[in-house]
Amino acid sequence: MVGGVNATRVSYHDTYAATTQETGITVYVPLGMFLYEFNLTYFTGDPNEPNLLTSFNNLLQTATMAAN
Amino acid sequence: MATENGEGKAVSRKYLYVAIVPVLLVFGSLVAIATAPPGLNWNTATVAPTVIAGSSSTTTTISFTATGKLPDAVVQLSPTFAGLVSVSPSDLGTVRQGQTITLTITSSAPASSTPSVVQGSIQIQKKTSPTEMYGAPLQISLNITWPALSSQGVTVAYPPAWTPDQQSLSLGGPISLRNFAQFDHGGVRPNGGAEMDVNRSPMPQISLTAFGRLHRRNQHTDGGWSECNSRVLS
Repeated sequence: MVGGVNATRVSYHDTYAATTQETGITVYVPLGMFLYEFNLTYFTGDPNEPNLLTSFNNLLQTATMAAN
Repeated sequence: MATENGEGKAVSRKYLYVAIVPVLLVFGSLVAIATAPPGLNWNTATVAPTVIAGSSSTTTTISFTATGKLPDAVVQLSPTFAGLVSVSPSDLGTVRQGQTITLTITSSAPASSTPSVVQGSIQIQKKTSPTEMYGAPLQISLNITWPALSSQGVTVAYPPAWTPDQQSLSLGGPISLRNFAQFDHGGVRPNGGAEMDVNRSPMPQISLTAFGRLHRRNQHTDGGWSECNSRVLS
């Protein structure tokens, strides 16, 4: 739930080069006429990953959206 | 006769107890009142300051009135407030009966704080005997929040250590945040860099999972590839 609305969470890994891989998380929130999209992107293997995820999840918990 | 005398003594003893017990209770109460520490009355039942992490401190003023003489009074905050809350003055000296003392509570939170409510209390106690409390403690609920941003119909609170793209906001664009100062050459994120952004688009006519896969594929113009997993948040 994001802002009281059911959401879909998508995670993905992008490879740009042999040594460069990116992790992304996108949360889609459909509300009224709009699709709200929350994205987090960082380099795969970032030692700060737990803190990044915590920050992203905290941001999601505070989100409020307009339906139209 | 011996039996009557015995019963008479028992009855007398019974009346003696009935007379003595209330006297002892009253005396005990008076002793308790005389030895109880003097008290105080707070001007409020609770305090709930709000502070934005990484922002300037906020101050809250409270006061109490002593209902008796409070010798060597000091102010004590719960250990949970270490580094977050301070009070001034903290050493009150001797407070006279009927005297009102005003205290200033200063609250702040480092930029690394996450949104939370920190519970604790403020207590007046005797400096030379910290176990001797004056009156009841006053409960404090410190509400730590993040700064907030609004754009394109969405409002979020964001980690204060992250930097919002003010240009995008000024143009009514999406909310874009990053945890680094600037991009490397070629617009590449520096090592350890991360970004968060929030935007909205018209509702697509396909499932969100399919939309997500399509969306990611459309963003790839460099021949890269994606693995994609999805789940519904509950």
